[in-house]
Amino acid sequence: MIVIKKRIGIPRSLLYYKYFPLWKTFLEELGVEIVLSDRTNSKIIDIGGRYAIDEICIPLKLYYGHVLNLLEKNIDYLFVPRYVSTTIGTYFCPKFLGLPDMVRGTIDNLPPIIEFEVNMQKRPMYLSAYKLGKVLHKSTWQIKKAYEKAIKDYKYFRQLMVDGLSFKKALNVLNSKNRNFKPKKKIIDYVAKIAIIGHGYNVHDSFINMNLINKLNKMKVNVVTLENLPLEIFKNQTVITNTLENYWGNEEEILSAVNYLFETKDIDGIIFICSFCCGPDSLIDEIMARDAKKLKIPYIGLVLDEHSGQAGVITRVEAFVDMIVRKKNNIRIIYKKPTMPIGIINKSEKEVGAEF
Amino acid sequence: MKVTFPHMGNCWPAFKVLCTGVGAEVYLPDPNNVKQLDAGLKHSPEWVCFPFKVTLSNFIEALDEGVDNLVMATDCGPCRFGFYYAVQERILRDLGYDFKMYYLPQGDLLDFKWIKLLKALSEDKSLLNYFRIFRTARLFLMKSQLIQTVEKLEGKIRCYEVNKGDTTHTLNKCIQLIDDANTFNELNKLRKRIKNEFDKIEINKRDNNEILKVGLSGEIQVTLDPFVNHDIKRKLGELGCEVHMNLSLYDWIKHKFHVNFHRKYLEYLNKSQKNIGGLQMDIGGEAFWVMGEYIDYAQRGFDGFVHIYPFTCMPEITAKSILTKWYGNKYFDIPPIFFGFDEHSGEAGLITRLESYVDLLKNKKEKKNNGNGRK
Ligand code: SF4
Ligand code: SF4
Repeated sequence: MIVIKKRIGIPRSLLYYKYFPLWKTFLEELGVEIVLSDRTNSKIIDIGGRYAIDEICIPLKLYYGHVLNLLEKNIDYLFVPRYVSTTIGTYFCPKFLGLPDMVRGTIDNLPPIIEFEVNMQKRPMYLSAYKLGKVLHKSTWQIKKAYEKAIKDYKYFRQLMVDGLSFKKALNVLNSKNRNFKPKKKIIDYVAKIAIIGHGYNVHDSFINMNLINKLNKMKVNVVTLENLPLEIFKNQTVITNTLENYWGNEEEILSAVNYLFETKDIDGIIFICSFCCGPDSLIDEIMARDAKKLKIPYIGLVLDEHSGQAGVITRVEAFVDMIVRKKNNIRIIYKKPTMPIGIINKSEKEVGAEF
Repeated sequence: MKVTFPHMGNCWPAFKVLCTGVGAEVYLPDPNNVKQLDAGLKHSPEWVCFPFKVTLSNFIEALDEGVDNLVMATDCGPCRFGFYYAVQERILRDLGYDFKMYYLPQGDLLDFKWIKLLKALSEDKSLLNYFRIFRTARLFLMKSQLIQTVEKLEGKIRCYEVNKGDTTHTLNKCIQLIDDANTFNELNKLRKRIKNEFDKIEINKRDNNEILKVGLSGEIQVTLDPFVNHDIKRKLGELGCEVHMNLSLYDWIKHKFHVNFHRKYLEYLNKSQKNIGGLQMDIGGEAFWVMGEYIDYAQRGFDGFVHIYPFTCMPEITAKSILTKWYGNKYFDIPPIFFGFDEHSGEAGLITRLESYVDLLKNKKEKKNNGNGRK
């Protein structure tokens, strides 16, 4: 007897860049076939932009594009997660909260939608998974096994990234089913170490950020993303002021990572990528920029939109890297001359910092 | 102790009594205006939502006047509002101001955290103070209820007024009356007085078929503040629309005390439309109820629906996407129109769009009336 697997479409967008390994193992263990949309390309941006209303942020326009792309692929179900909160007391951006409704409300001729609601405020994660499994008519035992495997895989995946792999490479390793992979520590000579911080769907989608990571690598910059940082730093909730704890799930990671970098100072500069019209980022960008200025850590916020010209962004990044390299060399030279009183070093540093 | 709080349209008498009731002195910033806004624009993040900029400029004005205690409401997610006061505090401190920021947690009023704020605002530390606090809270509720009454009447009556401007005049007068009354007794009497004041407006009752009934809803600050929304309510009224609006400060407070059954009904309406994309949960802002209102107005046979929000507002844009599609697909037969406001939105464009919208509604109504006549 031939078993025809149900085909579930997953848009390669938004939280794909964070939780896909988890979904993938879970769904595959439950015996369905996963169909991904194509990698982001100009066609996807185009149809997404045409479909969505103007004012919406690009990641969501892309989401539309990816969903529409999937509709051409003959799928039985469409997987649209509704991530509300993954820890108690935090929320995702409002657009994630309403994502399935928005898809249902705005796109015609959809296949049935499989919602995966993760809301720690209401129920623990495994119950959400249980609900999802029941939609696919699986037994409790099967769901339990699949869920445990998924969590294990996800942890392994995160560990790979902490060990220094990029999102794409870590995903490849996971797909290869080789669980004993040890990433080699490559020792390369680099001119600066720069952190690229931002939402996964901006940082790891090389089309929308114009291949920024590769371009930086070519400039001999050692690039760090927030997933490469140690896992412990994400445990505690970030404090904004003494009366306010951050309550945004995605931003939590960004803030933790940036605070960690601020504390250890083990970084030469920070590039924050955000999308035009993004709500949460508009505020945390302000906070981080102010902190960076105080601590004199070079920081720029790159705002992406679908019209942003390649050239403009690249020039800015190049200037930024140049500035950092110059600053580094500068300080080293000053450092070598012990006759210079320390006060002056601080002063010259201040002037450099004042550029931001 | 001198305190200040940001403006939200006509709601200031209610906020004021909240401070004066417990013995604090109030500095009331000028009503929002263009000049004041400049300072706020200069120091706000570039594309933060508009209410942030407006409230920040209120604070800057007050600080320049020497006030050193600021009160700001806050929420606990999921939208940006909860971050307002913290980021504003940060910005103002970096500007070199010295002040104390009080915040009013209103995520869930039943947790009674707001008592803490009122206690902090009053310098009296005796037990008797609790009576004062509850008296103040009650005054606040009564005043906000009266403001709601006034605003509702205003929207419904303006299109009938004979002398242009009467309604606005009466509105301002009533708000002043509400501010002046400071005992339960006086406020109780005001209820009648307000009705009388509005009855005094000379009106020209027209045929029901002629008047357009329009629902207005949107993000709360933008909807309630006539400066921010370029007085869209008045403009609609002057174009001959009876404006219905359920949103008000009182409505919001009731919701936060979990006793707002109208909103519960709207939530139910939304959830019942799951198949075509009715929101299934509160996603912040007013989106959940805006969509409920739309369905409700559509079912009640209204002619139009106006949705206003700050430009880039996350929840409202979600609602807007869905509503646009709903009308496009003819699920509901009531054309919505959307206005996003920020410092760049010009008045001229707004008027043109409103006029053509009202024309469209008129044509639609005429067709419908004629159609009915023929049957
Ligand atoms: S977090 Fe920002 S970019 Fe992401 S969906 Fe929300 S508004 Fe858009
Ligand atoms: S609801 Fe809109 S205006 Fe209010 S905080 Fe959220 S984004 Fe800003």
